[in-house]
Amino acid sequence: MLEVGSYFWLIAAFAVVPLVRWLHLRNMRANSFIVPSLLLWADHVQARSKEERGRRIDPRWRLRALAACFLGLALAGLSLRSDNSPPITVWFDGSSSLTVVEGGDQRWQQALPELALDLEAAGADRFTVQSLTARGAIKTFSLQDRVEWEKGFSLFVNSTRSRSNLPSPQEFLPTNRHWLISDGADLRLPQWLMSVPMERVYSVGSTTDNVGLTNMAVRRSLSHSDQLTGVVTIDNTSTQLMTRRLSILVNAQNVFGEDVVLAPDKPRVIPFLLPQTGLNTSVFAISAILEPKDPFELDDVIGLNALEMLKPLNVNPPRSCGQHFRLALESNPAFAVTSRDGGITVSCAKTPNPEADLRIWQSPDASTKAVGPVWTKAAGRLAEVDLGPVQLSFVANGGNGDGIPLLRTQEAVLISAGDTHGIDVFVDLQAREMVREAVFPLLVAALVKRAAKREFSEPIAQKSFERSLSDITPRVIPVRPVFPGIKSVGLTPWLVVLALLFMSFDLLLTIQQGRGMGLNPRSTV
Amino acid sequence: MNRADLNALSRLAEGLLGGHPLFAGAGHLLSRQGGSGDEFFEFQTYKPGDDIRNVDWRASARSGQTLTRCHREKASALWYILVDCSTSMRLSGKMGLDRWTLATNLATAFAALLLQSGHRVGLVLFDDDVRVHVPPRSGSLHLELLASHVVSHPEGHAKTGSSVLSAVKQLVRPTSCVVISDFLWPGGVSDGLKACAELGGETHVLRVASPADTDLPEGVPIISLRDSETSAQLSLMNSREAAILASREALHKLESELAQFCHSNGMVFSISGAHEDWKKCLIGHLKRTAVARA
Repeated sequence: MLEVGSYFWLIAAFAVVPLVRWLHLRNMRANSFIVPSLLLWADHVQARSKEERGRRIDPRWRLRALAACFLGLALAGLSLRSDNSPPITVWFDGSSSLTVVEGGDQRWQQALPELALDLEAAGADRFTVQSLTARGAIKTFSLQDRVEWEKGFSLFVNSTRSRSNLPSPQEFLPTNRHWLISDGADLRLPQWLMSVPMERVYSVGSTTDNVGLTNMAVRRSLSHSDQLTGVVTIDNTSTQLMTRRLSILVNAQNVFGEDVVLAPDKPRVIPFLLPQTGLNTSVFAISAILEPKDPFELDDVIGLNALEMLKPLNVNPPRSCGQHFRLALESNPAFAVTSRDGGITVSCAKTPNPEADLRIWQSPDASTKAVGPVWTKAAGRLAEVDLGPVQLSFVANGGNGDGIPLLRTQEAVLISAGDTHGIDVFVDLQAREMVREAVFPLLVAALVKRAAKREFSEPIAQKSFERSLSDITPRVIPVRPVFPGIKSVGLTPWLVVLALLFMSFDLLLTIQQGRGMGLNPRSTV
Repeated sequence: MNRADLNALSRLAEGLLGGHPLFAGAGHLLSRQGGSGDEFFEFQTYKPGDDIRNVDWRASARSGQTLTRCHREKASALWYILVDCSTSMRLSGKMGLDRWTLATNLATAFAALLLQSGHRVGLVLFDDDVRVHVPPRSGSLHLELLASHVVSHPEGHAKTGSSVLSAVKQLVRPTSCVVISDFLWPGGVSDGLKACAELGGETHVLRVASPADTDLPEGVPIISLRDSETSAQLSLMNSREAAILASREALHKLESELAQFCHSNGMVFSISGAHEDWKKCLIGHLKRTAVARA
């Protein structure tokens, strides 16, 4: 395929041909001498002079016109691109902001007409769509039926929406042309684009105003056990003051409503209180809704299933763990001592089950008194359990040195986190000195909580979005055009050489004919 | 040109022609109407309406019938001066020699001499068609009209070269013609001049030559030659000198053929150079006229 750098010079290159001819015609007139009558000079030529009028121009005008034309083409920056069009990969930005509705279409749909034209112009018969953020999501479409591939494209887009790490430059096939559909709302894109061979970016989107729910959390009320308390966070990412109506729905019933005024670019937390009675039903769906809806509807609703999330954590301690351990668990409303599957598995044995979440090492031999146990930095919130006055004893030779120490003395590790999972407890949890202490149930709860990777003993139902997801402001993405895999040959040197050849040939003819004082050997007089 | 010159030329012409009337012209011997003439011609039988003063009583008595005297009338003849006004007549040769000036002087001089002899003189300026047609008149005032037309006429714009045929077609018999041209007519001169001769009067042919006919400038690279009238353009093949030589030969041949043609058709032919004085040219032509009559 022939590519043109400057269309001005291209037009000039072709316009120069008639210009050169006209100049030669004019020059011929200028160098002609008017005689009273050609009768005296040549009778026989006069009869056909009119027919040969056009041919009487110095024939070297063609050489000169070609030389000028080739020089013009050289200035036009012509280049020859391989006809074998490289495969095209269209990267799709899976950011939620691409679903913002503008003018009846979602943002990503705005790019389709231009994309279709470009694909046609590129001479491609198929192209591949790859998600920018959903790894491995890739699909190839044939361009034969536009309706069909646009439909498939739509299905692909809706199934791969997410925002995660951007692909590395190594994931870009060097033989492909890479195009991107994005609105630039993802702030990581500009810097990322500098490192990848992206040829073209279809920038879409125009709306900037958006109010969205970024977080909702619910827990049992500490003061009223039959109620739930919760908070929602509303974020106004626009640049102006916005007003919304916040509604909280429980099982599709409106239980709370408030008009909220939102300052620009500032999150606002709204607390609310709900009766807990709904927890007895099979479905306890809590959702927050903002009205009226804006172009980006995805963050105008946030919902969670509180029944699933607020239920106590199942713990199934074997009898070998002892009665005190079991009582400590049963006394905590956050835990449900049950034999049902799910929840935390506990193993209390001389050699506990390595698959268990909480492995409590036991020994029939007398345990060793621990001197000055201290929590390590890795203990985290476990360290909140104050073991100061408690006399601890631990299983001798229990710790094998593996794992991350959480509680230790100078001589031994008392509690450690497993390499893969779970917690190993070498503290003797059945020692009389231990179970009588008030700190014992706290320690048990903290261990279970750590094993379950929970921050709070009491469950909290929470759902949140990154604040950046509510930022739908489209931004222009700078792109450094890269044409990987496209072999383009510049024709400029060849055109210049051709022009020089024609000019040299013309010069040679001029020198040869100059001896005749400008007289044309082709004349027929 | 002034009247004194013309009077002197008129006397010179009378002398050159041996007392015969200058430019007898067509119809000079044809008028037999009585009246103004003094020279007796013949007796005619009296017809009602004849002037009774012309009755010759003595001859009538001798013949027994009433006879009247018929006198030869010195009638005015019809002359046309045909001047080629095409572009080729306007081209100046070396040193600005202009054949158009010479042609206009000759035309005016001829008109003056003819008018002075009592003829009626008309004028036609032509190129490939008739550009000016001044009907014939007599009298000295008519000379000024003729002169003004000749002098003020703009350059012709013929596209196909000059031709006198179209001019001759407008003239009526009997008419005598004076044709002044370069005679570089692309269609040839024979048809046009024959048409003049067939008008029944005298035909005087004056070729006005110019160095521009066969000259090319020096030191200028000439690629082609362009016809001043047809705009036809031809490239030069040979060197300048060779081309000039060839054109001079062609001109010489053309002039010879023209002279031969005029001689064989009873026309008076002369060639005047643009560099020559018009009086000298006119006298030269009158001499040729005298020779032809002799």
